[in-house]
Amino acid sequence: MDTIHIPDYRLVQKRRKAFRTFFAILLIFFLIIWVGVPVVMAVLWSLVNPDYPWSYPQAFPSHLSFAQWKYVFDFTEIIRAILTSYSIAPVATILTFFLAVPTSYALGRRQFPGKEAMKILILLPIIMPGMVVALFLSRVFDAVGLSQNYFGLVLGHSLMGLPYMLRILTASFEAIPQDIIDAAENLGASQFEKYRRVIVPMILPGLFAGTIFTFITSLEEFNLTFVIGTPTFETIPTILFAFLGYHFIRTNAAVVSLILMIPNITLLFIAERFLKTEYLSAAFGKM
Amino acid sequence: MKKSAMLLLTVVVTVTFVFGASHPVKAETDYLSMSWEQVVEEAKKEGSLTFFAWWGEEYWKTAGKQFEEKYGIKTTILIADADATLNKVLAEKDKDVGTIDAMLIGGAGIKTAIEAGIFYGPIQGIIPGADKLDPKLSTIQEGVEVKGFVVPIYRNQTGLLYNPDRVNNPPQTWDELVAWIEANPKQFSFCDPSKGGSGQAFVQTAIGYLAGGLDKYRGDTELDPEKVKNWVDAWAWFNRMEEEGLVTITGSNNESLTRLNEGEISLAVAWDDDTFIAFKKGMMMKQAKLYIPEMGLPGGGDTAGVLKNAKNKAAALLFLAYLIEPDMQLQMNNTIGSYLARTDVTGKEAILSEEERQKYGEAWIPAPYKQHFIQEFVKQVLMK
Repeated sequence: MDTIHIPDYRLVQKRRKAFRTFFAILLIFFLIIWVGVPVVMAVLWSLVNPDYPWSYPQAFPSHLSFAQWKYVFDFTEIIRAILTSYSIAPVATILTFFLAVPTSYALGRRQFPGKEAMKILILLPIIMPGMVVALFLSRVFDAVGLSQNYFGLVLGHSLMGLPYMLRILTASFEAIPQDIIDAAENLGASQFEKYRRVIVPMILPGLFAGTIFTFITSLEEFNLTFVIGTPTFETIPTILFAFLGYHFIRTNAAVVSLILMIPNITLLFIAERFLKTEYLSAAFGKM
Repeated sequence: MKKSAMLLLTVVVTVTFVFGASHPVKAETDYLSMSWEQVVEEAKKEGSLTFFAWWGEEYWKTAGKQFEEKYGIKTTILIADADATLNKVLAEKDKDVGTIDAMLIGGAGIKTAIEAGIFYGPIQGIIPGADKLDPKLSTIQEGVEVKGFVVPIYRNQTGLLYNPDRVNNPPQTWDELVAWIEANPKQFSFCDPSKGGSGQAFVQTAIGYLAGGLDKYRGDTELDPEKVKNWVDAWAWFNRMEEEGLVTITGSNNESLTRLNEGEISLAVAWDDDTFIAFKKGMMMKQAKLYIPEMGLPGGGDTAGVLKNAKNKAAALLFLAYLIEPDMQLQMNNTIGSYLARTDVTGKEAILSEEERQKYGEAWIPAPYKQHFIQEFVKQVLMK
């Protein structure tokens, strides 16, 4: 007589749990390597005391000080740059939002000839090298009097953030099931109600993700800002790139990186709280 | 829909045309034939100036403030990435008025800058004190004839940087260096010549020793293919070093310094000003030492020029004259360690002595050869 094998579900569950724990630990490990270590290194380098070099075989700096921070604040226009960066980014994000919403709606919900080609075209600014885009755009900006002024920079930053916002929002619009919209219409929802109660709530996470990406892109934008904005405007990346350039000053570059990075990381944590994984994967996986 | 698209297109084209054509054509003032007193007067009338440099903000910002106090000319110092700035200047080249008045220019950009004709001049003849500057750098910067369009601001020199804990007798001659490299695999480093001047310095030196000296290239304005035929011997040597794992090729001047500081290598080709800054910022072990070996290594310096489409040319000329005044040269030397471009004043802060520089410092070979060996090194060594 054959014996019927009954799986021990507790054992299966235990194995699954162990499997999950293993991958969670693995993920945390890689996150620490990829994200944690560079941040910790930046913090340590930014605190190196110039009189006590951090050299082999020391695993950590022997003396810490704020001398590198003081240097950056004393000899660069970092405060003015922070103010400029944070006065451009929110306005550029709002402008990007207004430019992106109707386009994304058309790309995500409407059928028209050349739609797929347009989806690729809108990605061009991020496919082409930044300096190439900047040099070509600068000609146009010069011609229409948008060089060396605030509105030019806002428009430039919006253009650089637009591909991210468009891509994420288009995917969000595409992800809305038509059945739900039809159901709302059948139940007598007006056009306004349909947008307020169905479409907007469903694209909200995508909208939030797009906003964060655009904001961060604006804060980190260097090439176009440099070509059309300096010397009238200096942003945080302008100062950072000076320290990263031919005379690479690791200690001061670490300071400026942290000034740029800390608000960005905070924003990403906020985004993380608001976003649902499936919307993010929709945003990056579809199209 | 079509109508509105056409309307938008018409507006854009019109605006572009109107703005594009609306730059007023100003009569060009000739500062080159004015007396220096007149230039100073004009500079004060202009009242402002924008100068670009890519490092040493501590010195430039202070110098800018002092210049402003002395002449009442508002001075904006822009510290930014050198490549990006050159790109910006090239992009603005055809504009009547650019956004930068004067700029510091290094060996990496001088060839492009001179060939593109971005500088106003020649200015060397009208700037007071320019005749006291290093005559070699006043004529040729990293193999490029500058034709008086730029003035030297500081000199720099490549040398061998080493960790004395590991290198007891630093090599002086080519043979000693090769023997040291072979006895200490992976401990000697130079950077990819397409990424930094210290690498170019070493490749030039190697060509000199392995392909029949450097004198035959001097004075040439164009590359003579016959003279570079035996460079194959140099490439064969580099390939052997690579295959046997004897040398470490880094990605930039600074990576060589970083790796030495982190104990990965013990001997590296490095610039004196990079090394000075690394010491000053706590990025280099205190015991490290820099010297120019007896076999010689090239050196040069960085220069500054006034841009052809500068809005404030007179103020820019005055600022350059100010930067080469003896006091300012000494101040620069004290602050950022750069070696003075003036030969009639001696500074304190110097890793390498004037005597060492004069004795073992080599000149760069002409630019066409330098450019050729950079390209060939990538093809014949890095890509093999």
